[in-house]
Amino acid sequence: MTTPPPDPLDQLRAMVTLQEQGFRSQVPLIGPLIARFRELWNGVATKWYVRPLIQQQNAINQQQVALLSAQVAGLRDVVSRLAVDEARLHHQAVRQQDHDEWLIDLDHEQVSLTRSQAEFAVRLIQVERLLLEIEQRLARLEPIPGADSEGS
Amino acid sequence: MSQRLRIAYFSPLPPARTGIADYSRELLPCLARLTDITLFVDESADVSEAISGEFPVHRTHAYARMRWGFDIALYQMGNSSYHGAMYDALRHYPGLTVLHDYGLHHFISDQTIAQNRFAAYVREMGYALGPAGIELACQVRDGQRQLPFFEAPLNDRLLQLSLGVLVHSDYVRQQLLAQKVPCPVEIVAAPIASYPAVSRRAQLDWPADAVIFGSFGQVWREKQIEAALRAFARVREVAPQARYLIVGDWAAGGCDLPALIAESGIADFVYCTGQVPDLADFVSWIATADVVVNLRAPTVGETSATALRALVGSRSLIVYDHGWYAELPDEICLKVAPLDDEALLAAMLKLGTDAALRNTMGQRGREYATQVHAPQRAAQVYVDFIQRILANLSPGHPDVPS
Repeated sequence: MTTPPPDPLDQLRAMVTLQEQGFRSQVPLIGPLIARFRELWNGVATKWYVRPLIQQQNAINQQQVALLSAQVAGLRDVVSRLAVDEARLHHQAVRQQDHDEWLIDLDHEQVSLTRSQAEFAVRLIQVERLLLEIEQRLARLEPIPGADSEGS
Repeated sequence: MSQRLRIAYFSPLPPARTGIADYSRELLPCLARLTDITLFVDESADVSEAISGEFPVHRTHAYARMRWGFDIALYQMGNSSYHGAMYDALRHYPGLTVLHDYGLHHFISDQTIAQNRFAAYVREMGYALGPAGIELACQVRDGQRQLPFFEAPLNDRLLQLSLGVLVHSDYVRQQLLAQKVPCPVEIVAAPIASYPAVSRRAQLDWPADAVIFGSFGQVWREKQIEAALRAFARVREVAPQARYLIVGDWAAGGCDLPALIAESGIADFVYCTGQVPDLADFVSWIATADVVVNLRAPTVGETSATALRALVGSRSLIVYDHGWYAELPDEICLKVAPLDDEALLAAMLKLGTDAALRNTMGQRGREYATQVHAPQRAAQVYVDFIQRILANLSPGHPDVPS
């Protein structure tokens, strides 16, 4: 099992507050004295000048991290929604292709039906012509009963 | 059937400036001797008095209510915008289709994309090629590729609707058979009539011994006029008296002919008439040329009326050796490999420098064209074919369920 890479945002959170550092001295015997002196002297400057700057910077850092956290959360949400949309799009594309194939089949079927209809129309016209021809022949062969008496 | 056939005949007609209008003009008198013909034309089309005086003429939309009065509808179908209304009629009331061009992509794109009906184009591509066709159409719409004019003929719907198909070459017939069309397919030699023609040579102020090459009809890119002029420039190095005649509209074909001629340095030896007023004028210009250079590449399986008029007019002829042109007998024309400039040059030099060969070839060409392409012969093929279709569909035929 591999450990996941550290989250850069967590790393940033760990560094958000600036810390004042204590003074140390490596000089033997009088080292603590020197450190104490520096600390006292530094207290004068830090108290009135550096500490407010640190506090201001800390506030800025906290705000930045909060903002970044919100943006990262937003981005993660977008990414997950994109994945859902992508899956949906893929599904739609498959359905669209099914739909296209279905329409193409219908189009072919319609053409086939139109052709059959045309064939039947041609046959019907031929039958009609044939019937007309038969009627004309019959009319020539057999005078309509009573036609003579009506005419005379 | 003992009675005369009653045919509803759909076609562009003169004065429409399309070869199929002239085709019908030449076929109709012969077909009318054998059948009863009623003409149907586009709503806005003019019809010359010579035709409307001889035949009943109706607008295409009237056919729906008149259709029961005809034995069959006959559609003269080509690859230009002149066939829009008849294609709609054919889609509703199929009949016999005479397919003048194997490929109809130009026509379909003109009826769809050019009229802001892209969805209709997508539908046709889908019908012909399945989902891959839809994808291809979308790529065209998005500008990712050019229209596949020569890759997709888009004739499938028309072929599957038709009760019978007449074509003008074995080249097209073989392609239709490979497509497994569900109806009989027959070849008819394209009819061509002979007209009295007077050479316009005297008008040209060219030397008496000038050998005149000529190209005729609308100058499209596919007519390869550029290749012909390139070869002509080289012919002049051997035969400086040679001249070139270009008869037909070039502006509509998207070809800058004057610039092309100027660039080739042959402006003094080429004459362009532009569009000529009528067929009589057109054939007279053909009679003016000694050698007709009639190229087309790629071919959409068309038959060239210009080539046939050249043959009827006893002109010697050069064509590319493919499609319908390859089926012309070898003794009536010179056939060169498509887009082979050297072969074209050799053919032009051969005919340009051999008057006896030109005459022999011209005479043989005339004999061939007047016999094989006689309009009365074509009319008889039409009638026989229609009767065969009707017999196959007639009650009592074994294929017809009782």
